[in-house]
Amino acid sequence: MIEIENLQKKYAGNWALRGISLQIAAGKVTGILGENGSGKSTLFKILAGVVRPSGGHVSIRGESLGVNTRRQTAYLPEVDPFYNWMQVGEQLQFLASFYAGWDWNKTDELLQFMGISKDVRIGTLSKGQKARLKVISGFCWSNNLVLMDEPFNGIDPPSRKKILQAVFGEFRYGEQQAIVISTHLVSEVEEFIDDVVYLRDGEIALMGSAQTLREQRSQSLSDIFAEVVA
Amino acid sequence: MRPFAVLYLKEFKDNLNTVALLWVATFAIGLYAISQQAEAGIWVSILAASPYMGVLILPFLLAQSFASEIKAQTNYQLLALPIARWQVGLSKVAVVVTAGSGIWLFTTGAIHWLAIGFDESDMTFLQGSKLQGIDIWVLSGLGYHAFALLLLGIACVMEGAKQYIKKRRRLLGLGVFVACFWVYFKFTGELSIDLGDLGVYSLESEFLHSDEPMQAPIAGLLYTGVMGIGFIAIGLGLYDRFAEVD
Repeated sequence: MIEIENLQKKYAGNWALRGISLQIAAGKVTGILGENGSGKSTLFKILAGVVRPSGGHVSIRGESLGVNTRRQTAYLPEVDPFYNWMQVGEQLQFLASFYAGWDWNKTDELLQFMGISKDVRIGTLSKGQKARLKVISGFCWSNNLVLMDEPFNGIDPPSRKKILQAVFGEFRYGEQQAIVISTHLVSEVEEFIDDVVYLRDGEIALMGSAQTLREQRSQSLSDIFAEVVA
Repeated sequence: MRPFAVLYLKEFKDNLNTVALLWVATFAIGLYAISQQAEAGIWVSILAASPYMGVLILPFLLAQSFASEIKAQTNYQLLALPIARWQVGLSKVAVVVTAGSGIWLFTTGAIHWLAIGFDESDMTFLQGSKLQGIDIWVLSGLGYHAFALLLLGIACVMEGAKQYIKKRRRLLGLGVFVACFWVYFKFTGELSIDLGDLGVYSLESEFLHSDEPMQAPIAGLLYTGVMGIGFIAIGLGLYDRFAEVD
């Protein structure tokens, strides 16, 4: 589904990605794991189309990065990208204007599940609530790819639990939707990850099927993370 | 609703406080000038026309609009939208033009009102002229919007260039500013002459020092407006091609 070939990104003389190549399959959950500065967020930004690569090529469902790939991608960045002056409903309405197949029934269900009201101003939401809102914005329409960059960063355990239940439970869209997730809290998502990519200094340190890696090394993904990356 | 309309509405609401402040201030100045018409003479006309200087604020308003998205990190959301990025930039330009047009509307309305008042009282308005309403609206509208477009165009090129070259942004901004004005003045003479036939407006107003009907050359204003639109297109093109989050 996603083909990444020799992807490079350089910021002011420093390499964030040093030519990585990988494939991300449809319908699977791929974990991108690595320490701060390993290039995880840069990879997500490039896939979301909000940063231009310095070299290499990326295609999503056969299309090079552009408006068409952004049309089928939900990007949940590490930062809070919402307008604080908007109400929750207004923000979702704004996004729904751009993405085809927005499902308002599912939106209402997710809002209820996450315990967020449409009439609340975003500026008054807690960090945990904003993280939940990000998930709502990514799972209310029929996209092919969800990019979740550090969805649990600074989030309280109840919010983490809600997010995990929503993303990997009943609210996931169809068989073809790929989820790419990066997190430091490997143990939290370990059971949900199908494929895993360990990044170190902008390069792939190790990648493969989570199940295969666990069996080959007789280690959990967290332990492999500690050994390979840290 | 079409994506551009959605972006425009979002942008307008985002800048509502600033736009409202500018409009209320302009309206208040106009009302005050009208209320002082009988006593203050020519100074009232100058006071009423002073909000036209607000055109100088517009490029700063535009730059602030781009900068606030970066500061609030909402550019992560905007740049991920499945639309051409120039639409994001154009929605910002359109809102600033709306703000500027409001200033022009209130200011010109006040001057029109004053001109009618002077006419009825047999007093004269600036330079001893009997100005007609249509002339006030046409000339001020052309002049104000032409310079607004030029200034916004330069601001757009500066913004686009900042997306392309991320180092030494202040120096870059200054360089772009100088370069745009150099381009503008380089062709001013030649193109204004070429546009000369198009750019003449016959005034309805009477001028006390002249019995002849007068014509106002507006080719320069048309040239200024066209250059402004050209700069806006260049700036939005750069933004579309190079905009990215930090």
